[in-house]
Amino acid sequence: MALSWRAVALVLVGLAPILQWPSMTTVRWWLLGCVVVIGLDLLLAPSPARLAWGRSEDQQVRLGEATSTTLTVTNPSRRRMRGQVRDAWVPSAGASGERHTLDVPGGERRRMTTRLLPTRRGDRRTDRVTVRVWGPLGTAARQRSVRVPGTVRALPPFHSRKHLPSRLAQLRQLDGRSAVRTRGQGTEFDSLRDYVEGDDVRSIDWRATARRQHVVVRTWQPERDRRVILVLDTSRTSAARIDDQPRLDAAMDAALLLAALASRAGDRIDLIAGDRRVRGRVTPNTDRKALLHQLVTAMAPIEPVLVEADWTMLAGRVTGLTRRRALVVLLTALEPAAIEEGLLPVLPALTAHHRVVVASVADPELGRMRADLGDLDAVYDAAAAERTVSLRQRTADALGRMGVHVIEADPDELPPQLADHYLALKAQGLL
Amino acid sequence: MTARTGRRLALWGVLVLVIAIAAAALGGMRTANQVPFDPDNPEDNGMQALARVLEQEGVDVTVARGLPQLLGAPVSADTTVLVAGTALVGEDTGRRVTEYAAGAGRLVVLSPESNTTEALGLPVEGGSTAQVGAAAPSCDATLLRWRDGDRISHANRLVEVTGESTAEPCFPPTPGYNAGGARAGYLVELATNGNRPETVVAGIAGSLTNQHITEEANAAAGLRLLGAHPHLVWYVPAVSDAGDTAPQSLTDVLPDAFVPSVVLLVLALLATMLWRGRRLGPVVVEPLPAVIRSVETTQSRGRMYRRAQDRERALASLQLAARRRVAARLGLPVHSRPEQVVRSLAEATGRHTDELHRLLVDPTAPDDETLVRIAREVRSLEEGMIG
Repeated sequence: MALSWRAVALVLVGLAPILQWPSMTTVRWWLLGCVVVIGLDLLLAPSPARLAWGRSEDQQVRLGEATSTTLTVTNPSRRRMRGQVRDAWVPSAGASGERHTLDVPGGERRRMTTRLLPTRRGDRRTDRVTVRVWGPLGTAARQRSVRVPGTVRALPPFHSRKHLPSRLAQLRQLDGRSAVRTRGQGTEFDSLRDYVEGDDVRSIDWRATARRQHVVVRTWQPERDRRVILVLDTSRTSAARIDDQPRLDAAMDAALLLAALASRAGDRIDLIAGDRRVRGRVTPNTDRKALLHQLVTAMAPIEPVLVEADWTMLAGRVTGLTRRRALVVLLTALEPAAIEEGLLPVLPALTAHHRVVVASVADPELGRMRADLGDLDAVYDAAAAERTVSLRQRTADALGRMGVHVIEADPDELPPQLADHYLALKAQGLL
Repeated sequence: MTARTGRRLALWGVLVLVIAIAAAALGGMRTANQVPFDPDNPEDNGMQALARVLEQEGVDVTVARGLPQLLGAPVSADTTVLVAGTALVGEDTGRRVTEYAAGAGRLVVLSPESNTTEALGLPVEGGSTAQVGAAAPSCDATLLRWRDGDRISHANRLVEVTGESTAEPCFPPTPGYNAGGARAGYLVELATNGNRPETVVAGIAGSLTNQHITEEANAAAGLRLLGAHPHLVWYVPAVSDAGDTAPQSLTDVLPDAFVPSVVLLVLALLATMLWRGRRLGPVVVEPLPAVIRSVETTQSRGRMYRRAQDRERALASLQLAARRRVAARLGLPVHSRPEQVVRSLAEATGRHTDELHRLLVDPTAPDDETLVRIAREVRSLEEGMIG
């Protein structure tokens, strides 16, 4: 139950009879009267349990964008119900305007819309819907909480998509679709055409030129239908926060940019996200447009888990995917201990069949600590930062000796660097 | 129990402790008894000294402050009843004191005011003449058996006999004061009659105070007055005894509607608490992820260096990193030997090898200032190479 200001006012009105008949007996009788009135009001209030609830379908929204959810309440009884409704969500769902006024005549239905602006990636759930229905006098209400389940899925924001147009332009150059066709080692023969000024003279096909009386060049197209396998490490190292977002989120950003680029280039994308077990999985899809959606949907609910990654299992999954040579991108952290004990032993099995790239999100704070020599404490911190960097460098060197390319960059820089590395591999035909 | 609730409990505990200490301190600071002629008043105008001496002499002193306490104290023929001042004794109170004292062995009225006749029904009247100098008994009183040497100083009230010839005034202001027919003295003895015990009306309250009891024969007079019986009921009239009606409580003087109104307001407050305190649904908790800052391990390492004051290790780490960057810039392999880096750098910059050795290789730093200075010099060396 719940009381309203009217109940308080009712008690206070008792001051009048007390001034008239000043005694404790008056107080007792007045109190009794109030209890009876409020109790009757409560008894006569319609039961909120009779209301029937429904909710609109679950929404998917990119993190940082707003959406809304609609509650539908049906009053199957004959009596009108007045009161309040609170559609409670977890705080990170960013619900606003979650309190609604309930006024449903008997047999009718009302809709209530709550705005949502999620503040964290992942599935943000509802809590309970609480409804309060007032009695005829409005002094007391019956209150009840029901579960009307709903979820808003906040997808990874894909901030790095701003880099996509420039990388696609580079890709088109490789692809031969632009005016100036470039030629590279790793390209496949496409067709012959007349020489125009600016073409690489090395691509002149002399045999065809001899036949055609004017100069003819060969055109090339990059390799297609290569396989790119993205391995997203969701273990403890991915939980570490860099500029107030988990390392995992930055890694997702890089993975999305690479996937978008590679799918345009005609390659096929696999995603394996996991630590001790696989938490998310996307298989190659012929539909290029659906791919990105599949990826963000698979990534959205993944949260960092505080366990050590089982690289043997993850590498086993990768080798089980294909026998063909593929580009394997390991999105993990360059933590010396985690890499040396977990990843290094299983790397040879991967590098034997595939081209392996390790992409790690670096912490810009480390650079700031290195740069600051302001006072004694700062110098000690700078020394510690240099030590961390040199340990990471050692790990990177060890990886490099095993034929693995290591990219370590700040959260903003990693996606374009990874994309550039992919383009470079593509241009050289090393996929 | 989480750390948060633990902290909250500790806070409450500290709060309760502070309140308890404050209450104790305030209680201790409560001002001492300052009621005139009170047996617990250690000030100049109190009578604690007399009361203590009486107790030492085996007299059982019962203090009654106000009429209700007096009427609650047991009284018998071996009890002395002392009325310490009549200024606050109203007529109604006086009558009940008289009734009470009828069962006592002796009634002593100290410091009688002009209301003594009406209030206590005694044939005497308190005057206002005070005397500093000593007065001699000069009377034939039998009750207290005064001797000539018993002199009393600092008496504060002259007692005049207004009727009843059995009254015996003693200690006149001057030896010849009563010669002209006046009957007055600082102390008047009244023999027992049907409704009163033997009674002494004494204006010598000033003599018996802590300030003056040691002078002349004041102490002896006090002991003789009050120590005749093994029990002494020491009645200190309270302010509430002065009125004609029975004692009143606070509620009697407030309007009739006051208490019911307050009760009603309290009820309204309770209703308000129920109104405002009821939430529309429970608090929703956020399933929070683990928050680990990525630089935490590095910062901890820095703190470890600092706590251990490991200047050499810190400096060596800075120098190693600087050597690597310098080597990369000079086109040397990353893992070149330190000497080789120093030599190449000396050739490139023209600086002396010893100085470069000190900056890039030698990790000794005898104190903190040296550490900071070398670190900055290394940095400026690197920056100089860029520029």
